[in-house]
Amino acid sequence: MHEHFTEIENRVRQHLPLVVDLSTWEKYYHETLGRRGELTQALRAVGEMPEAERREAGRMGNIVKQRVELLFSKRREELGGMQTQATTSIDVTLPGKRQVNGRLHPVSILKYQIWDIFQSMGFDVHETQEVESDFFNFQALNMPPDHPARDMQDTFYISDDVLLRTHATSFQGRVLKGATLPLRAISTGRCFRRDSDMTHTPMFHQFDGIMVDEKVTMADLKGTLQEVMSRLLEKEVKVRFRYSYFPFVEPGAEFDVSCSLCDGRGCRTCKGTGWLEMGGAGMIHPKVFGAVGINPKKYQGWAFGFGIERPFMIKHGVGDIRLLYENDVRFLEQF
Amino acid sequence: MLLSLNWLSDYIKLKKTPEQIAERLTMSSIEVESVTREAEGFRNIVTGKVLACGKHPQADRLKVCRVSTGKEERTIVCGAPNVAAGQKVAVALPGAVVTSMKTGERVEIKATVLRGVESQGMICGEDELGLSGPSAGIMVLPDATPVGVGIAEYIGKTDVVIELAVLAHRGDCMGHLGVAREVAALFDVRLAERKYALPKASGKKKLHVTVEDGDLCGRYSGLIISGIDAKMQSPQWLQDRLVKVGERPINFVVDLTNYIMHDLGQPLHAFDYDQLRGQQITIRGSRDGEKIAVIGGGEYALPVGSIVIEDSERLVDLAGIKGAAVSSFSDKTTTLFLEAAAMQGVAIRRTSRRIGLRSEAVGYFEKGVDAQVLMNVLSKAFVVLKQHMPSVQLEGIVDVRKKIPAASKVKFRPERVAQLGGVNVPSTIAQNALTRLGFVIKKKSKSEWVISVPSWRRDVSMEEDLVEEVVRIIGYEKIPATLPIANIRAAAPDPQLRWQRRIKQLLADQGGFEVINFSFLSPQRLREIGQEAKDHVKVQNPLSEDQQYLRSELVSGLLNVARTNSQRGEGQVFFEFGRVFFPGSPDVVEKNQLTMCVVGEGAFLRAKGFAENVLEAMGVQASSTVLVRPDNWRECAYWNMFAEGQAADFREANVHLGVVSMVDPKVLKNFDLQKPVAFCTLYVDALVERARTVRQYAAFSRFPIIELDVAAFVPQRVTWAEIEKSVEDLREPIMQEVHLLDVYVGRGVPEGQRSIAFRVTFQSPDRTLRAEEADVVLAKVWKQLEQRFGAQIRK
Repeated sequence: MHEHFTEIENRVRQHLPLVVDLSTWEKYYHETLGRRGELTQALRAVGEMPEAERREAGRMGNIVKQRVELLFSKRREELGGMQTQATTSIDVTLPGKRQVNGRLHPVSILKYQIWDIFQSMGFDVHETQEVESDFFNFQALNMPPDHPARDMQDTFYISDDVLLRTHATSFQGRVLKGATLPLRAISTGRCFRRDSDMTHTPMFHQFDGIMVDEKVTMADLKGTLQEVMSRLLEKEVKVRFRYSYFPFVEPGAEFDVSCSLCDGRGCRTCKGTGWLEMGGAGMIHPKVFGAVGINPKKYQGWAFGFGIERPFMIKHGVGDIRLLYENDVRFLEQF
Repeated sequence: MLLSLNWLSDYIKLKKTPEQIAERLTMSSIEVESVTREAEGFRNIVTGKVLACGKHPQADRLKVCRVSTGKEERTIVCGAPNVAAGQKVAVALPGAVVTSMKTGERVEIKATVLRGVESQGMICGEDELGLSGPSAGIMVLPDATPVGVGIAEYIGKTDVVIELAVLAHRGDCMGHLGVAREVAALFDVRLAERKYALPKASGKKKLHVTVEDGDLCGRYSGLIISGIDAKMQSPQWLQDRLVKVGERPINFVVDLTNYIMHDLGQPLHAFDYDQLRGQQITIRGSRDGEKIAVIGGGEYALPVGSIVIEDSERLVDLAGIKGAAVSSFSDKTTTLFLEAAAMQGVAIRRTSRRIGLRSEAVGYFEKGVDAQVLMNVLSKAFVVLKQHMPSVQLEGIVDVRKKIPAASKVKFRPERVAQLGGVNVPSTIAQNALTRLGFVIKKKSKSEWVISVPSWRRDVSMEEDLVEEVVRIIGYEKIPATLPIANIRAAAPDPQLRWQRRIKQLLADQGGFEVINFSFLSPQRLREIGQEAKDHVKVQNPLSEDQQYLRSELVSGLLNVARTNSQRGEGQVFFEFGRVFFPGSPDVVEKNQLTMCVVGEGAFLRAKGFAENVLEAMGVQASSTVLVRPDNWRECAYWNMFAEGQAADFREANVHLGVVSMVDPKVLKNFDLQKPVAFCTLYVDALVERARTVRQYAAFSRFPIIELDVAAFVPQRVTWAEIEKSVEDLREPIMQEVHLLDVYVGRGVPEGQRSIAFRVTFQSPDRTLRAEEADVVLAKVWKQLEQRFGAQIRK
């Protein structure tokens, strides 16, 4: 019995320095000195010993117990001098102990909102390559070489027919080729244009969506965009179309949303017009279907595309796009 | 393109405000970028009468005038020598903006005290009103001038100039006639379009024209005109119109070509007829090695296939872009050859871009011109010329019609407007809309029409185009907003995207800040991280030298972010998820990577911990091993970022899944980072392939566990991985887990050793273990450590 007590004490001596936090300490204390603790059990066992040995063993056991208790309380002090809950009141106004909260980048936050909105409507999400072929970025979208519309998208070239995609619209050909129809899908991701000022960075993000079926119309496109933009800006907005030209849609439109800041009454952000320019939209051009082997006599579809930064900036009142790519924590932690 | 509303009224009479016109154009035709009223520059400037004019008490050169502006009288101090009582003058009231003669800048007039006398405005000179260059004194108006009239109205500055962004496919909207045609259709008013006729040519002078390729030039027309006064200035009205659309008047002939271009949308070119040698020209595609010196200076080597014009000896024109210096109209010209041609826009655009030379004409040709109207265009030019320069004679007419596109006919089913546009338009309204736009309708049946497209609308070639025409004329705002009807279907799963989002959220929730860096790297950045240009994809036409290469790693961008935020607190964690690029053949290799950077004390293990959390979330079991520099390490520039002996990789079997390393101090120095930084890169594509989305349940034991701790001094060189493995090698079935508790070096630990403590957990799946069973195994562990590593067990 004597040896058993010594062994327990030695183990505690050896083990306690390894206890580095209070919860482990609690657990270990309990395992040793708790009601069913090892030492408590051993002391209890003394009572069942022969009369002759009991006295000596009891004395020994109590000494060990005192020593072990001392070891535990010392260790507890070392671990932070914390007092037990029962003895003192807590200053409940102290700030809570917590881990640093990180953040997703603002563009990601909005991007995932977009995913959620569209996925809830059964749209597949794609992120296709950023280094893209001239074919998928331009030709399949009815922009043959030297098409003037290519000017609207000043392009970074890697080689004569490889480039950094100028719009997320490049996903259309890739997704439509060999697709099972009907189909609805969006694409998000980085795009690149040779442009740099307050509202343009050479790299930016877009999302682009298509719906191909036998009977979808431009009215459906308008309704879908109105639904999506209201969810995204977290405010009921109206969508309007303006006549415009994108080689990959016909009829084509620019689409605006009613200004979410002034509810269409006119403010600085919407330059007094009550409308915010958002992006392009329209019915998929038969030549786009032709380029990917879809019969334009049977199917029709709509498409739209716009930047991720712009709705973000409008929604959160950010005036300069470059803030998004400085990655200053003072900016990032606000969202 | 700038549009003058006065000019537009040559073609249409419309009782609408400029804003109403702008709004309708923007919604249905051409985006309006600005509306500028000429009168805006003359606000608060009115006609007035000088009632009295006396000496200034304090200044000899100033006069104090009493001026009536109709409703009121005011005192104005004036310094002009010619001011006198009884004059009618232009008075700038406080709030008016005039041109300061001292600085040439626009300044606002305020009531002010001049040498003790209050002046409540200013009497203006022509120069101050911006109507002329420096003038000697104030502008004195005729005696009959009414008092109190806005000066803009009085001098006729009432035009409104609208700035338009014509769409890339709408060449027909270039020029005032084209816009008038749109406005007429939009508001359903009549277009007053005139046909012009030429007098009979004398036939005395000839020019033989050959067009080699009808695709490059569909029609080539021109007039030979003698009796030119090359130095004659344009009439004032023409100069005024040009100034309004942003052109600088030069001389009548040059101004006329610009005027016609802005009027009818067809660029003209003025040759000096006498410089066209051999009285012949050929229009053809340029051949290899040809060069041309253009007017205004500069010699250009032409790409093959540029459209050029050659006389019997030399190139005389870079068609559609700029004329040759040797043959263009000059102030010595007496006989003019005035050209109007339908050149191919694509060829002109291509050459213009390749040689970096653009002219206004390029913008017209690339959008497309109307070959049908060339003779009418030339006729108008001649009529205007003759009217103001009566000496001119028409000597010859050239008109080579090589390939004029036939008027296209397009099938149109009115029902398609609703089917595609989603808006119900009665067919009478559709018919009206198309007719207003100049389309000619022939009805094969009620539901199928054949539409003849007017020559100026080359952009319309299919039924969808016609649907667009109808919808834009009735107004895009008439399209209702409905939601599509479709079969419900869940969005397709995409593991790549699912994990992208999950991993990023996990890191953010654990304190990481996601950043987004540009995908470009500068040559300097490559040097800073010891990488080489040859390993990077190069952008052929970067915006600046700084964005020359595509990134092949995410680390350097994150180090830069760490630098940006180095004053913003301790222990920061940044991460980026994105694409990296490598040169490949034939294609660029594009990969998804996740890199995190941890700054501060304990960076390495913290970075590794994040990575382990990611791996655990994905259900990927990876081991980490010390990265040993391979013999061919120089081929992998990454090695220059690893700190010697402080790098490990993650792998499953022999597949690399990631690396974690301290950043080499030399690299850190380049980023001005003083604190230690660790980075961890995970190869996401490989991880996603191995991720377990569906996990199988494994039964766990409900019997009690026994935990025994081991503490030992172990030689420094022995890694934890080796210790762990040595324990696991015992393959004791009751041993469940080996778990590191503590590593310590310092007081009480022998030199060259580490104190390592770990806990071994014992459990049986089917019974309660006896303490002795665990003790037996523990003894084996002790022995193993002693034998393998010479460890000294601390019992």
